[in-house]
Amino acid sequence: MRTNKQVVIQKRIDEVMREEFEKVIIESSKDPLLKLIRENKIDSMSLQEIRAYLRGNKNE
Amino acid sequence: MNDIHFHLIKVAGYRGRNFTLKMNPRGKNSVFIMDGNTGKTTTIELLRWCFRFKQSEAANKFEHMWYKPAHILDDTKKGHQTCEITVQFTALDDANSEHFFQLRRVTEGEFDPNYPPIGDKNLSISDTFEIDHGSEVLQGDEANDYLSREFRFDECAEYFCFDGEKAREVMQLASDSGKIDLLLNLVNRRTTHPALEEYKRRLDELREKVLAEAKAKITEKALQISMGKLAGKMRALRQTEKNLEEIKRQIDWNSLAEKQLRDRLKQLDEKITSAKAENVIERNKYELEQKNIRREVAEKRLSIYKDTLKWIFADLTDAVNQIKTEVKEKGRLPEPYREELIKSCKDSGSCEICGRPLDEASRRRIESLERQVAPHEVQVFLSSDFSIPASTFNPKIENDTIKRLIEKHRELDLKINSIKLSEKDAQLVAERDSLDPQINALKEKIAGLSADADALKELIEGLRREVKELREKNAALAENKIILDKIDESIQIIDGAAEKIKVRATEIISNVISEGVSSVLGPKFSARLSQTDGLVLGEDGFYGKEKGGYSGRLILSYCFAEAMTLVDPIIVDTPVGNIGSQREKLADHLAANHKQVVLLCLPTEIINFAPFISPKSLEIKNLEQ
Repeated sequence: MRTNKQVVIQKRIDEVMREEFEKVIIESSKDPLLKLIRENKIDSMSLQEIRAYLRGNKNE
Repeated sequence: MNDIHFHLIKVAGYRGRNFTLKMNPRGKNSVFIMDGNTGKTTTIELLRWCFRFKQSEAANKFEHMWYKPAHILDDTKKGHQTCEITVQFTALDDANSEHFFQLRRVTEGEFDPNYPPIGDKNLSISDTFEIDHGSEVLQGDEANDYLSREFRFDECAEYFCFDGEKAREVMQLASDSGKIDLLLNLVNRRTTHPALEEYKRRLDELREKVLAEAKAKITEKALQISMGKLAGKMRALRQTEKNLEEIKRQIDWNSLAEKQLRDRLKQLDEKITSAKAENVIERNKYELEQKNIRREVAEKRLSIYKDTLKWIFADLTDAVNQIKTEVKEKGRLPEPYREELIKSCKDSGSCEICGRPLDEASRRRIESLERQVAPHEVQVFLSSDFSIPASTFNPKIENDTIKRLIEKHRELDLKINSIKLSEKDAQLVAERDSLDPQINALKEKIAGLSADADALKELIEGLRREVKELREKNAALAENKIILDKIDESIQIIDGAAEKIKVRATEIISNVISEGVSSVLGPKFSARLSQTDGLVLGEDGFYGKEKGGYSGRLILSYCFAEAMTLVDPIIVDTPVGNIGSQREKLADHLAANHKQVVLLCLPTEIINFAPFISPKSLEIKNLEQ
């Protein structure tokens, strides 16, 4: 059985870039909106909840 | 579109090639056996040409081996001719549905070897791009625009269509520390930001949600108009920002192309200067020979003048002897035996011959005759034969020598006059001359794009101000102002992150190349791409431009090309040339890392290689049209 390691070049570059981008986003800022997107919560929140969240975040 | 699979490449007429490469179905690789001079390189170069250059920019852009540009018409055919290439491929959309695509480029013209710059006369190029078996058909530049937009073929044609020439170019690029910028530029163009687009899309959706909610609550007509205006401005802003990104991408791409052309220009200038220096050396050699010939001829002529007397008198010997005889016999000079007669005449006072008494005049005459008696030396001289010492001087030989020298001098004149650039050097000059207009055209294009970019930036600033004003004036948006402001901040953070990630992107691609190298050459080998050293191969953790030998660096080039291509398949011309013992490992690597591998192999590349890519190879012959 041939055991060559699968690099899957193109996909791998894109995946690692995505991971790195996430890292940069997290490291470079504590941005509340980006945090909601990253945690996949933004779609399920109403605008009222988002406003409250942002105000709460602003007061911290 | 994802998962591109090539199904067919049909070449008809281009450079006298006529064949069809029919690939195996999706999920399988293909190996074509094509002997030397059957069209492997032509196929690769035709694909690059079709995908890189849109119809309106394709004339005189075809490259073949070291000929840039090269002719695309059949140079053995007289009169009007039509060439055609058809490329069929499929790709999957986000819903995993397969779509069919066909690009057809038809070129018409006439080959005339004397027609500048490459013999392709009266060219007409036309592109047709078919989507889903004719459900949509694009013509002309729209075909390439679609391919660039949907597949980015234009950016990576050099790398998904790979060959030995490109591998050598990559090796040179990798080992030239002066070209690290160029290398890193290529890498930066390769980096994509899938997450960035995703974040921006989600923020846009949130903004739309805010606007939609506000609009739903508005009952006032004026507010509704204002809201509609705001939505329009925001859409215009998003579109303008996208346009700006596209223009920036085009500026980067054209700047890179310009830099590559300038590098090539510099390289050609060096070669031409070197060729000219060789010509000067040759001319000096001939001129020195001529100088020596002129000196030799002058010496010969001088010696001829010096010996002139000898060869002038040579023919006078007989005449001089004859004169001497005449003087001796008829010159009436008294001879010694007449001395007694004179004395007797004087003593007797009368002529002893005629008896007449001597008067005073006769007496003086006889006395003068006595004094005129030639001395013995004169008598000896007159009695002896006149001769000139024998001479070795041969005027004919001297004359022939001078004529030969003059002829040689003339021949050297011809040689000096015929010293000019060789055919190959002349091609270098022609290529150099063709680069200047290309570079200028690119500069103009970049300047135009930069002006467009500046105008768009201004437009974006204006739109942002208008959007801000409309938002502030619109009471319906007041309660969500905090969200809208935060969206703007978040977008700025994303844009900043994209810049920060550039350096990291180089490291990521370096790691991917390194993994590729290790998978082919073994775990003790790796690769490193850096700002300081460019692309180097490592062995046991030690990196250097000479590591791995030729075959190792060739593998490094393959891995670099793989990292640079944005699409599968990988189509390779003569894949194992100079690979040596790494054949099997390279085959394994290609098969494991690409969804479709298409190989154009020489018959000698089958063993230990082709069967690992595809169990059945297909032999391709060039057909007579």
